[in-house]
Amino acid sequence: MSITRTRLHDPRRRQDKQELDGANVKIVSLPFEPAEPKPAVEPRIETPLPKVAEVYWALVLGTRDYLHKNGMSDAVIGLSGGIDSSLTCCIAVDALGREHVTGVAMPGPYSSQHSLEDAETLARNLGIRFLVIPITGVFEAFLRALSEVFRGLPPDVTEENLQARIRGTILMALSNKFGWLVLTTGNKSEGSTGYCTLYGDTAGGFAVLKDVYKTLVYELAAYVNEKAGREIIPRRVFEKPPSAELRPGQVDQEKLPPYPLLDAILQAYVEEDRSVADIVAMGYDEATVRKVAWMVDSSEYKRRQFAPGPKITHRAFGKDRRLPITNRFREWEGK
Amino acid sequence: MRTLRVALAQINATVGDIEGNARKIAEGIERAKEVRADVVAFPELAVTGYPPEDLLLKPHFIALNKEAVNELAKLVPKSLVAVIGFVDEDNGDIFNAAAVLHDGKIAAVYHKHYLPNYGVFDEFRYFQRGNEGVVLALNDVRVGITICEDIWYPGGPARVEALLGDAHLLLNISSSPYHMGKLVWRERMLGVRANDNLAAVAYVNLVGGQDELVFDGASLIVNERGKLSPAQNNLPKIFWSPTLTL
Repeated sequence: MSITRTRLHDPRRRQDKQELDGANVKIVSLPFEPAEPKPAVEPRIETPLPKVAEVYWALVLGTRDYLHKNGMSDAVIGLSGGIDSSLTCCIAVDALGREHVTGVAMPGPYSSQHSLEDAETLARNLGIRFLVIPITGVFEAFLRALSEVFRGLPPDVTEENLQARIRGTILMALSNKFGWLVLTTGNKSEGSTGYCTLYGDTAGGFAVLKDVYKTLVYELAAYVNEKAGREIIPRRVFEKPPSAELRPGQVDQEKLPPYPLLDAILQAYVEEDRSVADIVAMGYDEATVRKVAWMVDSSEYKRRQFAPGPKITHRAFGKDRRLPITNRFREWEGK
Repeated sequence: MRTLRVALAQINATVGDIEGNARKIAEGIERAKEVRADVVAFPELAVTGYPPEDLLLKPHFIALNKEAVNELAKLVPKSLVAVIGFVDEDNGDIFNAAAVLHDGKIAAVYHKHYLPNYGVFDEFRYFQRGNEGVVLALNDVRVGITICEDIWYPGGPARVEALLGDAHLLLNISSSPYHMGKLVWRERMLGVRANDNLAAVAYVNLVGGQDELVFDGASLIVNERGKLSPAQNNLPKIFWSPTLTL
C-alpha cells in the first residue's frame, strides 16, 4: 500500500495534525529532473552480528582507525601468556595485519614457564614477530640501586609494580626506536578497581580492552578461536587462573572477587549508578560490594591517566562517566 | 506511483580532514550519479568529521568547511539531491546543519533542533539550535530532513515534517556512536518513528573510529509500517537502496 493510502486509512494522522499549532516547517520545491531509466541495483539486508562478534569488530575498527588516522601502521604488545594480552594481540592482527604487529614476552623472576610458552604459541599461531626480553637482570639492578634506601623494609607492592614498570619502559623503548604504538592490555574490570600499575601495564598509546569486562574478554577470546576454526589462543590460557605473576603464587582472586561476581557488581555500580545498599539488596554480599565500591572510587586518579580506548558499553570511562578524583562522597564507608 | 531512489553514503570521515572528507563525499556523489539515485545522503558533520570538539571554536575551520560545501554543490546535477552534514554559521552562531545541494547550488539548509549534551556529547558547548523543519518537494515526493538526535524525539521536527510538511520520507543523517545493543535499539526506534508518522525513514550513519568512539554505520531504510528495507552493514562502503515506493 502506498503511504498516501495508508494515511487515508489511519485516522491518527488527521487527529495529530490538529495538535501541531505553531510548529515551523519550510517546504522547499526543487526543479528536480530525475535521471531515467534506473539501472538495477542489488537489494540487501544484512543480518546483525551476534553480540560478541559485534563487539569484536567494533574493537578492530576502533583500533585500526586510531592508528591509521593518526598516521601509524604498527603496534607492539607485551604478551604475558594471559587472556587479555592474547586477545589484544588478535584484535591488533585483524586491525593492522600480522606483519604490522610485534609481540614481546618479558619474563621476570616470578613468571611461570607456561606463560612464556603460551605467549610464543600465540605469536606463532598468528604469524607475528615475536621478541623475548627478560627483565630479571633489570629488576635486580633496580633493587640494588634502591637497596640502601629500602634497607630493612619487607618487599611489598613496590617490588611488584617495579616489574610492571620495567616492562612498560621496555615497550616504550621499542615504541620510540621502531615507531610502534604500544597497545595496553588492561580490561574494564581491572580499570574499574584500579588493579593495574600506573606507568606499568597502563603505559602505552591505546587501551584496546579498556571498556571490556573480564568476563566478556573470555567470550571474545573464544570467538577468536571460533572464527578461525582452530586454536589461535591456546586452551591453557582460558583455563589457568588469572595472575599478574609479580610475586610467587600470586592470583588476581586474592585481591578481587571472582570475575563473574565482580563484573556484575561493577555493572550495577559503575554503569547504572546504583547505591551500595541497592546492590546489596540485589543479593550480593555487603562486604564485597563495599570493597568493590571503595576500589572503584579510590582509583579514579588512575583512570584519568589511562590511554584512550574504544567505547563499547553504554557507559565508558572518560567522557562518558565523569567522577571527581577528589571526592568525599564515600558510600562504602558505612556510618 | 511515487518512487524515489535513495543512496545512503555511509562514509568513514576523519575529524579535521576537510579535504579528505570532501573527496569521499565527491566520490559518493559520483557513484550516486552512476546508479541514477534521486537522493544521496551523507552522515552528520560529514565535512568536518564527528565530533570536531573545539575545532568548532576556530572560525577559519568553519570557513574552510563552508568552502568545501560550496565546491561540492558544483558537482550535483539537476537529477540529484545531495544532503550533507556540515557546520553552518550565521550571525555569530554556528549550527549542526545539513546542506541540501541541487543543480549546482545550496538549495536549502536544515539546522539540528535537539543538541545532545549527555554521555559523550557536548553539542550545547558549541551550537545554536534550529527551530524550523525542512521538507524538500521533489515533484510529487516530499522528503523531510533531520539530524541524528532529532529523530529520537517522538514529537520532534520529524513529526512536524511528516504531519505539517506532508513528508513521505524522513531522511535522518547521523553520527551515532556504537555501544553494545545499540543497533537493535536504534532499529526499533526508527521503526516506531516510521509507523507513528506513517512515513518511510532513511537513516545514514557514520562509520569508523574517532579517538574513543566507534561509529557503526548500520544505515537503513524502513517503510511506513516500520519494516526494514534492504540496508547496509557496518563496513565503510557505500550501498544503494532499490527504488522506494512511497
